[in-house]
Amino acid sequence: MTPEEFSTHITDVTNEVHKVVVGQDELIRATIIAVLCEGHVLLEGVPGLGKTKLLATLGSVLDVSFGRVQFTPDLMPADILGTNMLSNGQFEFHKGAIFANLVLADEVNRATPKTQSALLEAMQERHVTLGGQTHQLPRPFFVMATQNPIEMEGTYPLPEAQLDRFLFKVTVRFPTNDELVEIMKLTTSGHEATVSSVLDGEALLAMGSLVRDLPAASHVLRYVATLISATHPTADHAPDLVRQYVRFGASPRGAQALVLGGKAHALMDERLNLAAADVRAVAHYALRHRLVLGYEAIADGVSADAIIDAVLALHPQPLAED
Amino acid sequence: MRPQCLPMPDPISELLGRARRRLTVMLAAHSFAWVIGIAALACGMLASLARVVVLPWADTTIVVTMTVAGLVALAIVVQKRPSIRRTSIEIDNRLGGYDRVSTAVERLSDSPVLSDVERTQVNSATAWANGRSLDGFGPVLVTPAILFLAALALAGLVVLVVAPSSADAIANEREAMQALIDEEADALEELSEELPEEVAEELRAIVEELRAAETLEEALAKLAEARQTLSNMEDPNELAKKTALAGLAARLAQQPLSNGGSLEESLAAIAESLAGATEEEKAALAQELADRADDFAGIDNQLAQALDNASSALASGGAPDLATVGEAAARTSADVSTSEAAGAASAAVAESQRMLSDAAAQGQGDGQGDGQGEGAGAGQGEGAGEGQGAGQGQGTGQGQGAGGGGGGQGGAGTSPGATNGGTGSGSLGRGGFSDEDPLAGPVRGDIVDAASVTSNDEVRVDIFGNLLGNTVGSAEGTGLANTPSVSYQDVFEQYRAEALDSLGGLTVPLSLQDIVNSYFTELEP
Repeated sequence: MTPEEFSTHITDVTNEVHKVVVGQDELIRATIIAVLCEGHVLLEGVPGLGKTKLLATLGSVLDVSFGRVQFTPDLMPADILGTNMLSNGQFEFHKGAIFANLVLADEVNRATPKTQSALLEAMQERHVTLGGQTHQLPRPFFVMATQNPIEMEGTYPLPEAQLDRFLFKVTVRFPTNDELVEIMKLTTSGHEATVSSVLDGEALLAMGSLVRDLPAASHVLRYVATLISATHPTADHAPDLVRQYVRFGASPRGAQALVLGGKAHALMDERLNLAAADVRAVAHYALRHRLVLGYEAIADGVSADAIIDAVLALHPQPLAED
Repeated sequence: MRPQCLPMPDPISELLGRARRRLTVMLAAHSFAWVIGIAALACGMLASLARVVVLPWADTTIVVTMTVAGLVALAIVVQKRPSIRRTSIEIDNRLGGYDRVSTAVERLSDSPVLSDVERTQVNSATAWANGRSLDGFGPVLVTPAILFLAALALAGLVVLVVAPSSADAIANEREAMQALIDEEADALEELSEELPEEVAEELRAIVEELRAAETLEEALAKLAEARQTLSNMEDPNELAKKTALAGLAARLAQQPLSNGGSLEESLAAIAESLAGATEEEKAALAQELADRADDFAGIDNQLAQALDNASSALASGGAPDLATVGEAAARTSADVSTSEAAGAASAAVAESQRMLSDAAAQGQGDGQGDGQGEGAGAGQGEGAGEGQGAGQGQGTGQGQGAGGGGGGQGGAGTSPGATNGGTGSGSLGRGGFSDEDPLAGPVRGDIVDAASVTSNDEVRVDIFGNLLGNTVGSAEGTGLANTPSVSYQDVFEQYRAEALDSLGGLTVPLSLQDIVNSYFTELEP
């Protein structure tokens, strides 16, 4: 996979998705970046913003197997992972919805913690163990989950440890008026947009390999380390906002997410090295769900994004130290 | 093991070179602005302080501080000159390179072999660097405000240092004073080489103390103390001894038995020819030795005793011990020499004291007035008092100088006029440390024949005020135009009686008392 081919594929995928999804460029870009990194994405937004539509469209654009699970309180782990069923005197493993390249976990916070845990464990391990047998999940493997932040009744918020397994958490914004008009035109007429598959799984893996091969200078990696440690309230170079509102900062997975996401971001901008600007561009996606805020932050209405902004403001660029 | 570096593409290398030079200049401007600025500010405060308070070390400190500051700034530039790696990062940060150049430089430096992606990245960075301008690199003077403030502080420092101030004048005066002190010390040291060892040693000690003096006042105090010490070394009977010795030598030289030479030669000649001398000659010699013994009585008893013994021996027909007389006379002569040397040294110290006092007075401002005094002038018949006394016979007077190039108030004195028939009065000029040299009057030890002064001449009378005969004032005046308030004839007897009474109480040689007696005889109305 050459950078030029990479760029072409990205353009193709983006164009196909935009046939169905109006606007939301940032959301689409973040999602594609996560796909390129073979990372899981958590989309958070109020109902009706197109979260599920986006992921379903992406499943169609990518020529990979697609599984969708609607999370409800009565959803059982076996519904996701699969189960051994007695057939002809023998137990036969029936794969669950997770055995797909791209899994859409809709409203993931509505399932019980037990079911969530089953899903998130498989996300991390990329295999399923049942009845003493291990079943590898296909590659590429992405879980794209959605959750509704405003309906808390009857939901089970994901614990921090499980949130950490998502590469990105992307907040879906409300569309602009122009986008709304376009959405109305697109969805209230007799014409229904159709998309075609433009990228198969093999190409997706090759693109992921190119992302990982992208060189990253040591000072940029040091910059990533600085940003991660600055999210910890005990760090010397942490901003005041972190000291005041953050209980626990980002984990090393956050650093991995910054580097990988940054590399994909650089490639999508047709650059062949990781830059500090790329790291900054994906910082909110990669870190916002990894900060454990104290109750003071909730009381004062301080969001994780505001804290990440403070960290980026305090460390605007890599230090040119010898 | 560190991998071998791959060659740097020319465009990247050339861009790195230009950027590194620019960064070095920026670093130099920044460092010099801060370090020199802070140093100039500190030195400026010191210079300001030195304008109101005399700080002799201020200029040196400022020069050293600014030199050190320059060296520190230079050391910072050398120490912190950006490396190639740092320069590449600065290029990316300042020119929006998205870490292209720094990544390429790091790959080329650290990797022996480049992967396809890395090679493509290096090519991309090379294309980006090719012909890249440094226009967006930022100004060379990264902190113009700081640079301006530093230049301002430096200019202020120069002005403060260069512009003359009252403290500079004071410092210069102190330097001049120190030079003057050293000059006087040199003069005294030079004089010490010509004096007898006893006096020379004392004078050298004085010189050492004088050189150690830090202020003019301290030097003057030391000189005053030294002068007192030297005065103590002077023999109060020096003049009497000298006169008596001269008389002894002259009288013995006139003896028939003598050869007419010096005292030692005369004694030797007398001793040789004594055996063939007549009785009359012996009697005359015995009488002469007895008379001379009287001269030395009270001022040098040892010599007087030796002369008396010799006289007695001659009178009784025995052999006089003239060798003992010679030894005693030699010792007395040595004492006189030492005393004279001490006097000379004291005079030199006094001269130094006067010089330093004049300098001090000039330092306080010229012309504080000439001072004035009044007193009965010494008419021309009075001459100058001298010797051990307090100017007996010439009236009394005292004056004390008040520096200032002539300020002072004179003393008062009365004396009978000599030929104008009245008591003269005259204004008293300057006293003490005056512009004119008060020591330039009659040399101590000289005898002034006051009677030779004519009545119409303006005379100057130096008044000796204490037992050591030091001049403490002087007066100038003319006795002619004054209306006598007391008749000369009325006071003559009183004056003569007092003079003769004074002579009786002093150790003035008899031969010299005759001069005083003849003086009053000639003046007798």
